[in-house]
Amino acid sequence: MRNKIPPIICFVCGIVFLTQFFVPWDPVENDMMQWATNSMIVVGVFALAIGLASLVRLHGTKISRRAPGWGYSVITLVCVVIIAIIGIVPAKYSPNTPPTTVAKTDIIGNTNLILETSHSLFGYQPTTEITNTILVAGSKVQTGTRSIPLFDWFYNYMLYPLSATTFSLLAFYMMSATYRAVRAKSWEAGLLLVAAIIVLLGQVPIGQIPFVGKYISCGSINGISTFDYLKGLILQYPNTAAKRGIIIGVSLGALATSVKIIFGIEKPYMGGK
Amino acid sequence: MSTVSIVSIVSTVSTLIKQLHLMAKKETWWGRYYRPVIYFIVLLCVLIPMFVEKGLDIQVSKPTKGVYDAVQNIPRKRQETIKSVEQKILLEREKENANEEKITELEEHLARLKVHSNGVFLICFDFDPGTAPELAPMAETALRQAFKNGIIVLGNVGGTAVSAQLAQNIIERVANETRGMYEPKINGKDYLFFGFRPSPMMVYMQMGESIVSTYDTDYAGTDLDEIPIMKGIKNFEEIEMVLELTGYVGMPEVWLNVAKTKFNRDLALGMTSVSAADYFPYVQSKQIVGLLSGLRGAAEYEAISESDGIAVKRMQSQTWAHIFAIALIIIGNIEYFIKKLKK
Amino acid sequence: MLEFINEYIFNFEKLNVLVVLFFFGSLILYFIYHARRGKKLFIRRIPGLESVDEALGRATELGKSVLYITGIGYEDNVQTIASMNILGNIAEEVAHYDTDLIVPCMNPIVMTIEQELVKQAYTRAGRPENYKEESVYFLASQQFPYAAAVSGIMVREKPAANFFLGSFAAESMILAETGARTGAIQIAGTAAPSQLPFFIVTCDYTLIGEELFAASAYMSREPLLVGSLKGQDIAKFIIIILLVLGILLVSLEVFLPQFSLGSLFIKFFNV
Repeated sequence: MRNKIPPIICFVCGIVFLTQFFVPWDPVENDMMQWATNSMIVVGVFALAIGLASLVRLHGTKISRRAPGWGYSVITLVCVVIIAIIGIVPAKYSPNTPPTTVAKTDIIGNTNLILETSHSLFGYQPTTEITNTILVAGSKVQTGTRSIPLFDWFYNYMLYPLSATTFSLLAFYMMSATYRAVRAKSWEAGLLLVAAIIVLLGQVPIGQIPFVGKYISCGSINGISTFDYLKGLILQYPNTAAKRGIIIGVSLGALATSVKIIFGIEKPYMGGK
Repeated sequence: MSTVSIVSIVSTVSTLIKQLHLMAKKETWWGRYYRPVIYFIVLLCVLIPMFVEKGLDIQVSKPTKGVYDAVQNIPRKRQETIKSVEQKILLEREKENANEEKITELEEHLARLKVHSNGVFLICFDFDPGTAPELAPMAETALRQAFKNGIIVLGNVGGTAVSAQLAQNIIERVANETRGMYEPKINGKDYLFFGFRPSPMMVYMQMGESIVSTYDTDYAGTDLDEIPIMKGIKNFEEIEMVLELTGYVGMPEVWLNVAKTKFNRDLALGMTSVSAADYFPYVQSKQIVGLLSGLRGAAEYEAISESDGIAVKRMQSQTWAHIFAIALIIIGNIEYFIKKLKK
Repeated sequence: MLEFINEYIFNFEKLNVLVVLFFFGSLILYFIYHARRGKKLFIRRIPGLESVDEALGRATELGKSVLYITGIGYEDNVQTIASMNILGNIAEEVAHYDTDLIVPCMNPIVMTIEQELVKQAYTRAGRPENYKEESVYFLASQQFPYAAAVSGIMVREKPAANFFLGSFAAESMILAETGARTGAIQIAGTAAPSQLPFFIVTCDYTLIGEELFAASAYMSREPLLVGSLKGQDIAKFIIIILLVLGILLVSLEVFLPQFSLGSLFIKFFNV
């Protein structure tokens, strides 16, 4: 019986929500879906607690055994604790005080409103000050101030640059992969190579490179630079056709997987078999 | 060409081929250290052009123009909607068995439409710090174009909570850094940011009924009922256009299902270059009014809006990086063919 | 009566969706039933899946671990579900070979499902005592922190075989290239068309699109699963016929406007 209850639940829920898609009655179409979504969010939050416990246990074990790389585990756990505390502490957030509207006729010189940020890294201020200023005849006039909580400071000055840096690694990895792997080993690979070069050249205004640009750009077609035009053709026709083919195949695969799970032919939630 | 230059070109090419021959054997340091060398040259290709102030002339493509034109048309679309609702009220009144409830509903809708006579534009900031270099310029340009035309801007986040702070920073900066193009914009009067709510599909479906009941408060925690801007906005009926900015494949489909299919709003997408290629079919089938594709799309948008943004300047770096990528492909293939010929 | 049904029971605007769903769903179920009767069905060779044994064998010989990534999708993502099905098969083989398995997760719910999955796989293989709970763990819930952490695992642990199967976004290149640098044999598979080129250039074998969904049937060769695969293929064939038919009807309408079958055809498939 224990092994039969989960597939029954899966089947009933699958059929109910399949039916829900077609029923226009508001309590079914919207309220039921809202309830299901809210339940998933609640389960997700509890699962986050489990995930956190798993993380702490993993790194705690590494630290206690002094396994290779245990220093990284210390840093990880310290960061988890600090960010959790800062996030839980109530944030002193006040809406942006709009700068005093200054009529253009009152200003001599530039009327450029700029935001200046000043912060203290290890100072005693728990917040970051952001000041609105106006350039009036070359000198700055303060018009309003607001504070940003420390959590936002961590976001703006730690998470933001770290995420951007990790994403930027893509460019370097792509270049080394390009050199290593984009080779005309077969005619299909050759076709890929040619398409890649056309799209690379079409994506940038190649004609404006000093000295060699006008030789590489090969003129224009219908008023658009040649490679730009060819890139557009490649993206609009063969690329679109291929993507549509993959989307159709993937959708059918998704349909088949869903049918198999609803009817209990595959049970990944029960260990696979 | 002089004899000297021909001889020098021939000798350079033969030296290069000899070096590539050796590289193919991987006897040289290149075989072991090609990665650091490539990474260093990429760094130079990206870094050095950043010091060049002059941007490049960018040709604007049709998908980008579609986005620009759609935003420019928002005030006109609002006026057309107002006229069409007035017409509907007149027709309903002329009927023998006029439906009073329907007339009241239409009159309330008309009153809301007239509050913001230049239209309302919703921007969905679904990007994180990783994708911000490509998508933030698009967001800034769209905001400037809207503020210049007196269009009310609403902002929200559907993907991850991480994007909310980033979006708030961008909106506030653009609202205050006027560059002489418009008066400083006021939060709650000219723009409003709702922040993040999980499960985007449900949130957007609910927005089709009532935005106030979906969000309750704005990002700063102020009750939406107290905010002046919401007097003229109830649901998607009072929003002309939606611009989704994201690097995640899957998010645009949510907007396509809700904003386009269900509520028939104009939908435009701003995506990273990698993801944008997946959405050209929707441009072709006119399900979206336009598509901004990566940094090039952001630069095109800045060029057509005549906005002095950062994307156009960054195209210098991208151009040189692309040239280097092509050079790598050529070198790699020459090396491969030399190896093949040897065998 | 019809109005009542349209307002409260069934939205007639979605009738076309129901028809298509019913048709293709029945097709798949029919072939599953057909396969139960014992008829052997042919599946073409998929190189990526043929090499799974080779990859696991290599990891066992070298005494190194196997790294399995199910992507960054949530538990309701079909690609993640397909990947979990494959994980079950691979975990069973890994249990036989007594090789270490590392499964870092980005989503806590996916982590709990995979823990159960791997545990059951070890039990089926007759090695429940070899199952280590710390082999399946939660890393980070954000895309790039997760990619950075997995890259660190690859560089430190140096697994001999990397499996990247599931839903991926931009981090696919970071993971695959780092894995390539460590010299591991890499098998990847995703249904996201934008990430396929990155996997194709950096991995030894790539499962493209629906090959990921076919993998569980291919590896287990269970008749029920192979039958569903056949159903998918027939459905695809029918779609191709419909596409050609649609093109012909719409083209005919251009020359003979009185035949409006093309417009009706398009209207039927409009959602």
